[in-house]
Amino acid sequence: MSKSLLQGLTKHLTNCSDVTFKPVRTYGRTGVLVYIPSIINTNALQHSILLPLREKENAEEEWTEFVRRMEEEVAFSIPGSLVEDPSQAADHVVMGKAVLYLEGFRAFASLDITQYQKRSISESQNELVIIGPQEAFIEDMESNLSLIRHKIKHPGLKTQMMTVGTFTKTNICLLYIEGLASESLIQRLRENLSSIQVDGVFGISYLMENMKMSRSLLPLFLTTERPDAAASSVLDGRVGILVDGTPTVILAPVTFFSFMQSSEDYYQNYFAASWIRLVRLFFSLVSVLLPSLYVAITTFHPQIIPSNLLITIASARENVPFSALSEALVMELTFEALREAGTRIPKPLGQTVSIIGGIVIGQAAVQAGIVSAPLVIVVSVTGIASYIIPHMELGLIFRLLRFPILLLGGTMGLIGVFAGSFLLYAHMASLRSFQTPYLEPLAPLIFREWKDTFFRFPSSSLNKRKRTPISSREPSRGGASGS
Amino acid sequence: MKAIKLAMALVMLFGLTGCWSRVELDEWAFAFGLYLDVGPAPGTVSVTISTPLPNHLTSGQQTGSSGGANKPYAMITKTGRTIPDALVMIQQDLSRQLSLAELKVILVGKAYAAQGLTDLLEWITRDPEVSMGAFLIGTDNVIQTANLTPIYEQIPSQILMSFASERHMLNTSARDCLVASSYGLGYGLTYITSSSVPTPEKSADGNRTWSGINGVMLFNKEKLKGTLDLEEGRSLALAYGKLKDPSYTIYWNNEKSYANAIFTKTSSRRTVRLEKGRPVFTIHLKGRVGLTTVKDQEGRNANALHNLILRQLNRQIRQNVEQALTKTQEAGTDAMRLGSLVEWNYPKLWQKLRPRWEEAYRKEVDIRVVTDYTLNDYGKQN
Repeated sequence: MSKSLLQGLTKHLTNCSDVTFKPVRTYGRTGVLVYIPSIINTNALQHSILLPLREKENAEEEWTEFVRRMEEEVAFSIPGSLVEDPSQAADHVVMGKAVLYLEGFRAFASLDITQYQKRSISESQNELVIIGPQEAFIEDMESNLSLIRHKIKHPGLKTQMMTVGTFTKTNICLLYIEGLASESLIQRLRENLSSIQVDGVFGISYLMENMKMSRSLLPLFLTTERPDAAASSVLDGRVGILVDGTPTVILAPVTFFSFMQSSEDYYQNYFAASWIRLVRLFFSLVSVLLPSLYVAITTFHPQIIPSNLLITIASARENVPFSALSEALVMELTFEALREAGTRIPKPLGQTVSIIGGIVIGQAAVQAGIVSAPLVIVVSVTGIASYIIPHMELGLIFRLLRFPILLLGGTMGLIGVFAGSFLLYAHMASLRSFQTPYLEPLAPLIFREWKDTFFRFPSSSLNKRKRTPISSREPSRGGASGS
Repeated sequence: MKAIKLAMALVMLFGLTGCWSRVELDEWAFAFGLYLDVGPAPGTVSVTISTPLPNHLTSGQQTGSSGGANKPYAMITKTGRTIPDALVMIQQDLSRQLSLAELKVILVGKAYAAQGLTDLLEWITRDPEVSMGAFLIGTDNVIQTANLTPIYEQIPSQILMSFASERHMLNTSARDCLVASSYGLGYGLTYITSSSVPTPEKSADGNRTWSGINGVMLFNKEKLKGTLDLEEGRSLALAYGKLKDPSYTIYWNNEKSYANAIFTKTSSRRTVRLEKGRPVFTIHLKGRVGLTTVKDQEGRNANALHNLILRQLNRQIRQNVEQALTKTQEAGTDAMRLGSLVEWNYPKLWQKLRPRWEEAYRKEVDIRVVTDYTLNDYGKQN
């Protein structure tokens, strides 16, 4: 019977050339240790498994004692379990465990000596701060948890593991502080995550898109690669989702204004940080509205431009053969192309793109009379403005929204711009991220939270726990979207 | 259903727009200045518009000195029975659409002013495109003033506008005229004269037109009633509180000694009370004065000198203002809208006075001036 166990396991692992079947002999019995050398800790294999098994006496009493200890899962100094099903044992092997088969024992002993290849903790690349911690998450979940545990040393910090993905069997971990995060939110997230049926999870977007959330252009999850940002969000009552193999943590629920905040705000002087927050808000409006306002005003409402500026713009537009709308569309598209090329291009070629882009857009187009200089300024300011939003996911959407509003502005004038922004605002106001209104604290209006939304008051005055769990506040009206 | 509703809403929204009547910025001709004079035939008005020529103003390039052929502005004159008539005729000849929305200054010739501004004000009240904030300025020779040579600015109308907006004299706007007219009161317009002066630099023209403020035109019931000269005009503007950073030269010792005073802060307040049933107005002028030049023949000590200057200054300004106001009384033009004070304080009396306010202002009204200027800056050396 015991022999068929090994056969079952071998059958599951055929054609896996990297699986090692190492024969062992102990207590006069033969056995096989099955593992994949590239994903285990060989040191642990040597010291904790092979050494204790080495050449024991063939004494039946000792064997019985060993079997008893095996049954109690205390035979080895490392964590392990007993597995009876060969296919499950095969799963354990590919997960990086060492599976021990011993002749005459009823099950496999699966021993956890997993060690995947990982890189070392490095500096945050995409969410830069000047003052403050520099470390960033890596692909290895254990390391990421260790980074967070390092920051929050409290037994209330809970980590709930799950596995998603039929083939990838990706570990995900719900991270929250008991008592701060709302129970219903945790429950909902847990249900949502466990109901996900996909082949594989390679990034956070696989999870975010498969959760039962309302559909929206706007991001309903915050992501970060910074342990300090994740830790402080968890302290605010949010729930974090760590995904093995991804250096990014998902945070929920979010509000629109949480995308406008950077960790840096809390490390800098609060006057400077408040000012920067206002600047960010202003430029986020600029990034959506400026091109459309420019086109709408110059083509439909030139009366509201001051005379001197009017002459300047008019004279710049004098030789341009296109309408302001098509001019703006062409320039915005070119800018988008440049941006995308700049992101994807191999580093050594990056210079080329920026030079060609700078010359073509900045100079030649104006000199050739194809576009007017004020529009180039508008497009550049807009381009810069869209990068001022600290979280890229929102910046991307704002760049996209610019185009429909530009079309509205170019065909209907200011009324189109206002209608477009109103629709956007109405959509945002109706949106919920796990029961939290998206525009909180603007809609609903909660003035006392403004001091950590539009401004950044000194932390001594922020400490009066608004930090009741964000989503425990029940929605004042039902039936809204979100989930 | 929801989609249909949304589509309906969008269709209705589309009806509100004017995307078919869209005019690109380079298809407009913006009139910055409007110049009015009587036409050659009786009963006609000659309308000139001044528009900048953006195609001669390539961005980033300094203009104005580019010579006669490439003037950065254009003047178009047409004659018609009414102002809109003439404007329609101008539009007919233009390749671009005329916009009056940027109209900043309206220049009226003396002959046109003598006929009255009723038509002009009526047109401004009606036409939604014309801004009520446009400044009204009077001149002796419309064509010459309109063609004044801009030196610092690009377009002549910018200079005319700065006469008003920089408050070198009165800054009467169309709105002020309409308000005064509706009260039955008068108003004053800055009066500009032009002359041809030789250019210092060698240029093809030889001469250039120089325009300068020369006083104030006084209007009552939309008709030109008289003019004040430069000094009187400045006094009126000072009394009205319209003058920006005025300066005065005070003389004593038979004009052998003098001091130059700059007003750093001025205020003007007007009050009315009744004396024997007749309104008596008091103009309270207050301000702080700094000295820029002092020349004293007798070498007084600083204290005595300053007292003297202050006394002289207060007296001189009082006299000047009184003189200017007497002139307005002679012209029967209540250019400072003193009548509105009567209306406010003694409405019943105003009911009686209003129909014959011109006469009453001329003969029955007493205007007093109280000045209270103090020295607070004696210059670098005191």
